[in-house]
Amino acid sequence: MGKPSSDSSDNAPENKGKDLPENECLKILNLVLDEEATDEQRAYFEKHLENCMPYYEIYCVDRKIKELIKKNCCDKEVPQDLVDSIREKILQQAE
Amino acid sequence: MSEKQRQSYSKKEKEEVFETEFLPHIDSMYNFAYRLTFDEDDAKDLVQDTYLKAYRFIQSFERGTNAKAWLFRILKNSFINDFRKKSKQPAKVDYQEVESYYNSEDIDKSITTDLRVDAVQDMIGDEISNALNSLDVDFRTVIILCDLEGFKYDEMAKILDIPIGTVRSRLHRARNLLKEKLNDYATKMGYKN
Repeated sequence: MGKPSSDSSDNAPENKGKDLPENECLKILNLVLDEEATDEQRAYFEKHLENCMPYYEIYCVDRKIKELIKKNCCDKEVPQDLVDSIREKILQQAE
Repeated sequence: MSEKQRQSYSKKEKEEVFETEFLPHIDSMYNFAYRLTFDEDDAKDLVQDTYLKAYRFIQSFERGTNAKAWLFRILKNSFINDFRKKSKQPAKVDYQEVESYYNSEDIDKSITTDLRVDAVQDMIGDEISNALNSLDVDFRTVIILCDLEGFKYDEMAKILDIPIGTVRSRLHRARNLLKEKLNDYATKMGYKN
C-alpha cells in the first residue's frame, strides 16, 4: 500500500472548548476508542467523561465489545492443505 | 495504493516477498474470508484466489509497505467482483440505501444508552460472534477490519475504496447495530436496563 491517502473528506470537529452536540461527542468517542483522536480531542473527551456518567458507560461498553471481538472472532485457522496448495500453484506459475 | 511505480523483482525475490510478506497474513485472510462467506470451501477459494492474484500482480507491491492492507484489498475486491456474483445468496440490499437509511440522525440516540457493561461482560464468545455475523456484510466488514484486524481509518479507506468520512460513519452505524443485537441477547439473558 502506498502513501497515506490525501482524500480526507474527513474533517474532524474542532473542539473549541465548548460543549459539543451529542452526535459530535459520540463521534469523538469512536475516535478515542480506535486511537484515531488528536491530543486535543482526547483531552476534551477525558474531561467530558469526568462529569458525564452516560458517556462513561457507553465508552466502557464500546471498549469491552471491541476487546471481546478481538478475543472471540478470530477463531478460524487456515487449513494447512490450503497453504500447501497455494504454494504449489505459485511455484508452477513461476516456472 | 500506488500502482504507478512498478517494481521489478527477480523470481527469487518474488518468492521471498511471497513467503515473508504475504503468507504470514494467511490466518487473518482466511478468517476474513470465512466471515464474509460463512463457508469453508468458499473461504478457501477466496483466499487462494487472492494469493494467486497477489503473486501475479506482485510488481505493483512495494516491499516493506503494508502487505496486509494490500492483500485485504485484493480479497475484498475478489469477494465483490467474483464471489458475490456467483453466489446463490439472495442479492444484498443496495448498500447506499442502507447507509442513507442509517444516516438518519435518530438512530444514534435510540441505541446507545441501553446496553450496560456488566451485561456485555457476561457474554460468551458465541453471542459476540453471532451478533457480528448477523450484520449486513458492509457493516460486518468495517468491524472486522477495525476491531479484529486493527487497521487504521486511512488503511480501511484504501481497502474499501471509500472516503475516511464514510469509514467513520459506517463504523459508527455498525457498532450501533451490533449493540442493538447484543442488547437483544442481554434482554434474553435477563438483564434489565
